[in-house]
Amino acid sequence: MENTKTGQISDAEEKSELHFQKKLPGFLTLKEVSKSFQTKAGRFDAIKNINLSIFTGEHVAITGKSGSGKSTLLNMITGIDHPDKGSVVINSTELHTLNESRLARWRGANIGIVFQFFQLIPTLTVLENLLLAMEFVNVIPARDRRNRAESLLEKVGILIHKDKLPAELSGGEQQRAAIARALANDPPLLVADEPTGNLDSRTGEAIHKLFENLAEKGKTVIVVTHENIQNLSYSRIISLNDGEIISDVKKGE
Amino acid sequence: MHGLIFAIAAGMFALYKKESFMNIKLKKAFSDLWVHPGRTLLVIFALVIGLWGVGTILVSYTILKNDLNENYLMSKPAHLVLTSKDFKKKALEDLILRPEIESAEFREFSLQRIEIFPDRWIPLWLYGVDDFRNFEMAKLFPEEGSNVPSPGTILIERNGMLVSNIKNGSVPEVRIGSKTIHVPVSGIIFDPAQAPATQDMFIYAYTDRNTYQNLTGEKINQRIILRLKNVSSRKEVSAFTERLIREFEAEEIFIDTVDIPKFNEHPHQWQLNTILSLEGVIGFLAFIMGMVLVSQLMGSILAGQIRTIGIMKAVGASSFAVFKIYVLMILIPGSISGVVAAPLAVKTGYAFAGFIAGKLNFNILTLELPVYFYVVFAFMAVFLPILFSLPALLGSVKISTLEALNDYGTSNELSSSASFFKFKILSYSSQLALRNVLRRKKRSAATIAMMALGVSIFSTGFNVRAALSDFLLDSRNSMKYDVQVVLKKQVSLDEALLPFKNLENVESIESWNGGTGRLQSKVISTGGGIGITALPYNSSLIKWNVIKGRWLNNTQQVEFVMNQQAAGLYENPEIGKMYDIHLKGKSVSAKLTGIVKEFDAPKIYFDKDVYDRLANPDHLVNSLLISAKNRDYEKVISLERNVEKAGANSELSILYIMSQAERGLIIFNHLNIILSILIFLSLLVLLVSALGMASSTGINVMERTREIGVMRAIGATPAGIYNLFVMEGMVTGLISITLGVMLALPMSYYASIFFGKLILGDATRLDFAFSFPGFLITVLVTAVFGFLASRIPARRAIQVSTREALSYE
Repeated sequence: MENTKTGQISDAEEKSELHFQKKLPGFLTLKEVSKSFQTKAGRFDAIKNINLSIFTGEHVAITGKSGSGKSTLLNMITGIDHPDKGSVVINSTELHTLNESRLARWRGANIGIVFQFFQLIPTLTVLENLLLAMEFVNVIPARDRRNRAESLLEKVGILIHKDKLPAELSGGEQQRAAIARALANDPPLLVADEPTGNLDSRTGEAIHKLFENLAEKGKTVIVVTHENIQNLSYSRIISLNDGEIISDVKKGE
Repeated sequence: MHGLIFAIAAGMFALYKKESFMNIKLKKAFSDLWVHPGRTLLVIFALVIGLWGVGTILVSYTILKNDLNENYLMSKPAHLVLTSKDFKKKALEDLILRPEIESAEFREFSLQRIEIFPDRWIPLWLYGVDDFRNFEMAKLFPEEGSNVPSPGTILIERNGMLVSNIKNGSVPEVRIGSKTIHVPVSGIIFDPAQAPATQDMFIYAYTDRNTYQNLTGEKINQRIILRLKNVSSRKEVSAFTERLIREFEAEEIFIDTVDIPKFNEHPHQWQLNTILSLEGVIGFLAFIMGMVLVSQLMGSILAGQIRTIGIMKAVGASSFAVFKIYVLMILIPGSISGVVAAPLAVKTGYAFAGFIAGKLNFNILTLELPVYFYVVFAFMAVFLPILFSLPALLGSVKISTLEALNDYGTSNELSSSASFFKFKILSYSSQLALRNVLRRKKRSAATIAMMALGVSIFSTGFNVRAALSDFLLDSRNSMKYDVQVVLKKQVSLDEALLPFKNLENVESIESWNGGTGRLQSKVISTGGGIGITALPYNSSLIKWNVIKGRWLNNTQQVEFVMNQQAAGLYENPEIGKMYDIHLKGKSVSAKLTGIVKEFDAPKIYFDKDVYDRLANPDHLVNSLLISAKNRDYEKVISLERNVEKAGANSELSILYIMSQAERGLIIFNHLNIILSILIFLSLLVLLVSALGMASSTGINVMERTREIGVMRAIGATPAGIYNLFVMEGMVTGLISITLGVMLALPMSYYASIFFGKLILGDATRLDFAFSFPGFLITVLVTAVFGFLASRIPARRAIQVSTREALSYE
């Protein structure tokens, strides 16, 4: 797909590439992924030689204490950060082969990210936050975007707040809006970083329920959390400690 | 054009309101600007001020660049003026038939004197015009009253009304030779080819040739003005003139004076050129400073958007998509500022051009600004802010998603600055203020550089002014006499002295001689030939500032000295070289011994004895230099009036009487307009730089709102926070003043050379002068601006509540 002359890809090419990839079964593979950071105290190995495969429709929890490497692992999966060693392959795409801009658009189409602090754009209304995400990626036809955004907001139960700015919403409502935005481009993979860490337990439960529903409908959902997850319905729980996977348990095993 | 600008603005607003047409990226750009209206207004304000200032300069430059000369050219000025006692009507008829000549006519001229206020007389340039109904060249344009003077009356050039109580219908007294007569004024006209009366203190009057002859009693048909065909330079006119003079001499017509005005150039074009240069240089600097300010503001806005950029990239935005959003964000204030500033700039540009036109006595002809002005203006408003914000813009959009998401507004620049300022004697809050100045090094450096540049230009303005004032003072001090009487005709010394012998308050009277001659330079001299002054070489009444060679030192050698204006007529005149000079019809070879500094027309100086031997065997004189016993201003003016009265009661034909005080005023008038504009424009630059400082402090306050909350939460009082910001402003101001004043020294040195050459001629350089009052004013104005620039944002800092400050993102 890459134009060998310029190293760029055209819009049309990129669009078809995005759609093509979305048709593949959603799965994710990390091969011997390591990442370290240089700090004043010296070298810090955030994750060490991680090997991991996640399959379509799995509802995965990644847990661990603070500093165990959860967020770094999540950044590797989303392509927000690059591994020092190893590779990340999602939907047959090796993330390290994409440049920053292509990666951004690929990510917009294939991964929905939900942040702990919601990270909605404060100057746009809830609806506009969704529309902007769709406009960036441009895989949903322009005429369908508004309906889709409203239907997503209805699904997460905040349609009545569509014209409000994020600051006018409660924490739970903002996180619902963030989930709706993550789903805006209908990505096969949804990744959430401590999505309920900033919410009260009742609201947190409702958000977990939403993720559960999404996984049931075929999305691959990865949630990073340090909460007690015994009572939640994850299909798989991966525990990290000091940058290494110490357990990887699938429900029913 | 304004309508179009408003239509665009209205269209943008309509798009904003109508969501279906509103691109979401544009909406975001608008919303980001709207979320901090104060900051957006600051950006717009900075842009409006910058665009307004630069636009004013651009508008006035566009008008002035052409209009003075267009005024001059629409009069179809003469290319050549010849005088001879041997002209006959046939000579003119022959000239008109020559193929090289477009038009030729007799235009008589003589210098008389006119009373402008009771007992106040100035020179009157009186012209005898052939046909007021049919000008072929040197046209006059009617303004008021009759455009053809009835016999016995005169028309007055309009600028003369500004220096006198003469109006249409007045009957002023005119002194012609030794007689005084009343001459009615039958109309006011505009002569675009004349130097402004307000500066030169002349009145220009025009009458028909019969009246001219009746009034003056002089012969007519002695002065021909000519306009040539197909000439494009003064050189070509000179070449033709040389040929013509030889042909006239072959016909036994001997030319007394030749005047070739600067080709197609108004006599005061040099003043305008100086003003335009000033406008250009200072406008450019103000513009650059304005743009630096905008880029700083945009940089700060973008710094606050880093996390948002991270979010957008995380949800799928490419760097280019993010870039487009922020380009839109810069386009919006740029367009709004352009819409606001354009009409302001046009208004003030016209007002400024009108002011200059009034000073230089010409009409504004550019009623519609050319389209390119609007194109340039739109480009400046819309694209230059983007261009200047590009480094910050690219830096922001290129940041990786991870870095952007992890940005909490802290700076990596912080670490090193803390160790610089560890003064045990200062309180921690003072140390904090000092450290905060270096907190954002690039921004602080830009603010200080901008402010220092403003200070240095402002200070340079004063220093150049001081250099010019020193020059004027030198000129004045070099003349030790108080009143000068210049006679139209040469007379014997006794005859000249007779009327003034018994006047009160006269210490001594010295006599000089002079006239006009023709220098055999590559370019024939201007002003009816070069001025020649013959004076005792050891005269105590004059003390020249010799810039090259030496002053005259003997009565034996045929030597002469020229002023720098005369030197400008030569290409590199050589001291010690022999030059041919025409004196009263004969050619004399004289050695150039020196060049003196003088603000006057081109002049050369001979020793009086040498001159008498060469061209004045009867030892006649035509100039008296009177020194007063009591040199107080009032006493000198009183002496001048007594000299005036004594002259009026004598048989002497007086060309002019002038006190040194008046001469100083005339010279000052020529330079004052330039000096005033220099200071005005310098102040503008300082204002822009103060604005830069205000916005920089404003940005600091905004960025540190959260920090202010923390300080308030741990016990800082509003006064303490206020003082912190004011102290930061004062530190910035102090560093800027120090750097600015230091920078002003070399700038003043080179600016003095530049303006000296521009105003006084290529051979003259102004000596560097340091203006101490200017220094004090600079420090004071900068300190006040600096204080205000930090006080306003500081006041805003303390108005935010602790809760609001802590929750600020």
